[in-house]
Amino acid sequence: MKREGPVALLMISGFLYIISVIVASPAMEPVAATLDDWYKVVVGFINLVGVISLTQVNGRAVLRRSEGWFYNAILLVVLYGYIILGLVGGLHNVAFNLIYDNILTPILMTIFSTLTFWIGSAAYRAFRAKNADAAILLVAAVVVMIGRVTLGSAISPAIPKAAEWILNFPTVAGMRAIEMSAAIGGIVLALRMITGLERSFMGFD
Amino acid sequence: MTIFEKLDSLDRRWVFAFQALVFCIVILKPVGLALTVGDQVRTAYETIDSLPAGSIVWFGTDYQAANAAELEPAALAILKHCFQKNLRVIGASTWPEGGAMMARLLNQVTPDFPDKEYGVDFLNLGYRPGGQVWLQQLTDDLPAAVGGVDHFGDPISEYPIMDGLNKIQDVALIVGIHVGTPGTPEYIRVITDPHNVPMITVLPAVSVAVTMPYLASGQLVSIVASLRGGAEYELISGFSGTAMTGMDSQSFMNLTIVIFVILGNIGFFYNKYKKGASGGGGANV
Amino acid sequence: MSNDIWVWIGAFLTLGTYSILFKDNPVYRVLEALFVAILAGHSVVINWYNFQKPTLTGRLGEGKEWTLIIPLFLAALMYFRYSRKYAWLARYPMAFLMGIGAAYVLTKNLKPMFLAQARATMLPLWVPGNIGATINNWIVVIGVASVLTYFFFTIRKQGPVNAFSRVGRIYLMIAFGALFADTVLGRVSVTLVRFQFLLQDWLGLGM
Repeated sequence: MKREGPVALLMISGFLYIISVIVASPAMEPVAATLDDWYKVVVGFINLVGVISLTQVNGRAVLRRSEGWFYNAILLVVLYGYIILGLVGGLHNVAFNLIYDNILTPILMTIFSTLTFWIGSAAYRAFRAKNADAAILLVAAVVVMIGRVTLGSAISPAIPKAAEWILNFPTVAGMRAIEMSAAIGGIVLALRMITGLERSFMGFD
Repeated sequence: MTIFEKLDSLDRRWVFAFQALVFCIVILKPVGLALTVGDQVRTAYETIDSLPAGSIVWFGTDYQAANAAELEPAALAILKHCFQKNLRVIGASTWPEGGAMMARLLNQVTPDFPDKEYGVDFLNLGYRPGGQVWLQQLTDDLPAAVGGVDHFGDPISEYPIMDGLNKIQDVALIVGIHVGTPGTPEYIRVITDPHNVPMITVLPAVSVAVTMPYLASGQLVSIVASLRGGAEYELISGFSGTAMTGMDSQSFMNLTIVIFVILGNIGFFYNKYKKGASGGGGANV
Repeated sequence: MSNDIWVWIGAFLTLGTYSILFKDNPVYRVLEALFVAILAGHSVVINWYNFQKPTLTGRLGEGKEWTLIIPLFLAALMYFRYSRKYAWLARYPMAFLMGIGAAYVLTKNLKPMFLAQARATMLPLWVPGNIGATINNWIVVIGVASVLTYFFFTIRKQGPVNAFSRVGRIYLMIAFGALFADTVLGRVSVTLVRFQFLLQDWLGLGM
């Protein structure tokens, strides 16, 4: 029940879905549709796992008065306060939407943008042409960086054309091969999973 | 100690401060570099422009607030263009925050189009779980997949915009505003490729290189990329917004980073030459 | 300068978040807690109104779709992961999701992800009257083939195979260079919008 049961469920659900898609008969069509629906319901109802984990980690820190427990306490108060506000007031609730638009959004946008400064620092200290490969990467990056902004065409119309060419041909070729390799890799992994050979994702060896 | 060694040991916060200063200068003193509309944005514009009035455009808002700064200008310009052309717009998302993102877009655009009515001309279906599986359901039975409510949890059965919309194949165009998974590849796998539904995708710059193969293979109509794509769409559509005013600043910030790269490499080769030794790249970023 | 209280709050939140670039500080820690809490809380509320409530009240309550009890039961098993004794029960919903996920990969990925890309690589290697297109087609074909060779690990790469694989490595470097450039472009765009907000919307400068 602990090991073979989940593997059996994986194999049955996977094979059933594949058969229903391949056979594509009116009799089998509802099978795939039902499995799709069940998948959506399972995903839609396991979302509280994240909130419970957050509560567990932060609650433990508060109870133990760990360093910085005050921040963990703020997190828990805001988390449950915001959930209650949303559940009681509904999604038309002005306060619920104001908090999202005017508190969360600026913080999220700014956190996302701080990386710009790290990139600037890294550009000076780490992005170096130590060998031929790194030099090629660096030249391509510089051409695209200048060619994809208005300054590129102001310097020379050739720069944006070079940037476009890099993106449209060598980059497409490289990324396409990565995509194709990943597709094959994904299919092999899926085959291993569905035949019960790959079990590590469930905590098995 | 050479100047380059001194720069190497400089506290990174000075570099941060310098970048912030450049941002301030270029925003406050723009030089007005000319912006031209590229082929991708032109294709996107012409595709939307050629749709007959009343067609349904599906906005897949699969992103979150962190990406709004980069993607919203393009999304807003496209949405305004759709309303101007009297296209009907339905927004939906596989990301929990996507419904709120669509609401943000609509809140900014609808005041300019007071005649547009919710449920008639536009609708925000909000979030549904399941990712790619939900997208597959949209191709089989859209009303069942949607489940009868909109982003606010209100019933949608009375809304005329849903009349005759049985599958996602019935929409004229998909505008996918995507940043990750589920995103463009998932739409391609289950909707656009098997059912030949045209899709324009609005992407952050970081996703462009990895999405280019789908464009080259004809699985996408066009990519409207990042703030630059937004600025170009604002220019071609005539709906001026925040993106166009930022293009100078973007140019000079990119130039600053290129100068950092060049200076770093001059220092690297100078130190290497001076010490006569190899290696020595800095990890202290 | 703005008179809107929300713009002032936005400016404080922006500057408070940027303060991490100087050093770790209490303001940033509070904002970090706020962002995690609001984001998680928002997703719970959205999921409830957009999906869980209509499923429970509409489909199960009014529609009497009793078969829904099966996936609901599976989802409930996921919450046993917090029990030391019964944590193994959480493997069942995971196994179901993985089974369908694997089936999706096997039934949906091959054509759009591999075959369509392979077909798009079958380009004419001689375009009459257009030497530019001919060269570009060669570049794409050689690029895809050489990068695939680079990722081919089941044979020992020697001689011409190794040389061809080395060509693939060059293509990858160019692609990663473009990727880096695009990353810079994207991040600069986001920062630009925040600085526009601070300087123009908040301080009213450079309008």
